[in-house]
Amino acid sequence: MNVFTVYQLNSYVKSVFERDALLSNICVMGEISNYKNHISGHLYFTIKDENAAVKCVCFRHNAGGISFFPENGAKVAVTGNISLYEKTGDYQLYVTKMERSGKGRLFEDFEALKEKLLKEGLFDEGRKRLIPQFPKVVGVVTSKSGAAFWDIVKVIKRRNPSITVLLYDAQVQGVGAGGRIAEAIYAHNEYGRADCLIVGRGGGSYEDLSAFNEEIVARAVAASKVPVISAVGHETDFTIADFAADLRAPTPSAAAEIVSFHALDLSARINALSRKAENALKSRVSLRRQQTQSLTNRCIIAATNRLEYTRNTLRFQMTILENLSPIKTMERGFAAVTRGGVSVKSISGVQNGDNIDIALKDGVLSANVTGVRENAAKKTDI
Amino acid sequence: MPRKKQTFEDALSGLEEITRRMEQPDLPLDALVAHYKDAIDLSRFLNKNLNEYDGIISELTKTARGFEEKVIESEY
Repeated sequence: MNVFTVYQLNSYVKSVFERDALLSNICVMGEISNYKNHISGHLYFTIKDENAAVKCVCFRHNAGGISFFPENGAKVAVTGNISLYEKTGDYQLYVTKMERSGKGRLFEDFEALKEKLLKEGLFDEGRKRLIPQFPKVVGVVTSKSGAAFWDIVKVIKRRNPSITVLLYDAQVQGVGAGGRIAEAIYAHNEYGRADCLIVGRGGGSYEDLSAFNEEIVARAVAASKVPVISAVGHETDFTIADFAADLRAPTPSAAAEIVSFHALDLSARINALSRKAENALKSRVSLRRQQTQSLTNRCIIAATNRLEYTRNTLRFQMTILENLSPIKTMERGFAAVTRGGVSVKSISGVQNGDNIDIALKDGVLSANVTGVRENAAKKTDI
Repeated sequence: MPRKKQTFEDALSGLEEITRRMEQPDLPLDALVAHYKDAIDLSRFLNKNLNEYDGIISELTKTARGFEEKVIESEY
């Protein structure tokens, strides 16, 4: 048998590792422990799970591949190559990249995506559309078999049964859910019947809700011409879809309340308005009627008075006139004298022997003048 | 289709505006009567809209043939 030095042994094993394709580029998941930040700037730690552990080193020049400092207990996925440190015989994972895995990784992705879309302006207030106040058709994107859908239906039916609910079924968790949700949003936009959309699901764990943190969903929500209300999980759950939506509702039931104007309330409001209109009209008409009545009365009174006055004046004048009438004079005994048809008002021109006619109130006397005598003194005419 | 829904909103705010105007004391009487006629028309339209429509629950699907709506059976 050949005899080798320790150094030869270690070199050989090292070369075996380095020749292996899998070990030249491998990703390993585990929990960090024994983390040491060496004075040299290189990071030394161990990755372990319940059954095994392996030493890791990340050289300073590779530190660009990690975005955070390792902490003991953190669950991570490290990428690198396996090799051997001849001096100690330790085989190590030489790390070139490290990411959080599990919950931590999801959270990192979330923050990164949120930052990216925020910078693109997808969450700007100015982009957000108003949710219509009185939608007739409410589009829903959620799982047909989930509780959220039936909660929405129950609330809408209770508040306003005249609203139509149009569901586009979409898987809300698991692989491919993001794509299904986005597809549903685009479908509603294409179909065009919905006045607004409720996009969401019931409560669940962070992982359960993760589909609503996917970029494809955020972009579909932002691109939707139909206003979108996001309704994911519970009050305290915030997903990227919530930031992209035109309005966030804390739960699917809350979203349903937002879209279903309460028919009875509205009916009452309409009736109150038409009653107000009626009263406004009635009171004004009644006022005008009163005014008209009182003016009319005044006119009538004025006219009547004037008429009375005129009548009295007329009567008075007529009395005067009557008294001036020759007939009245004659009734009192005065006579009208004519000679040859011509009225005789004076003694001048009359001679003895003239034939005159004397008209009395009831007849005419034919007479002959036998004497003419002038009055002694002038008297004022009656 | 979109126009009908906008009209509901327009009708309601129109009714509110008319009522507000009718309560102005200096509005001439014949304008008042004309407004009242409009108010009655609008409130009739709004109530009809509220009452005659029976909403349904249906599911939209997209197939190779295009879109399809199907009524979902529900306990409500």
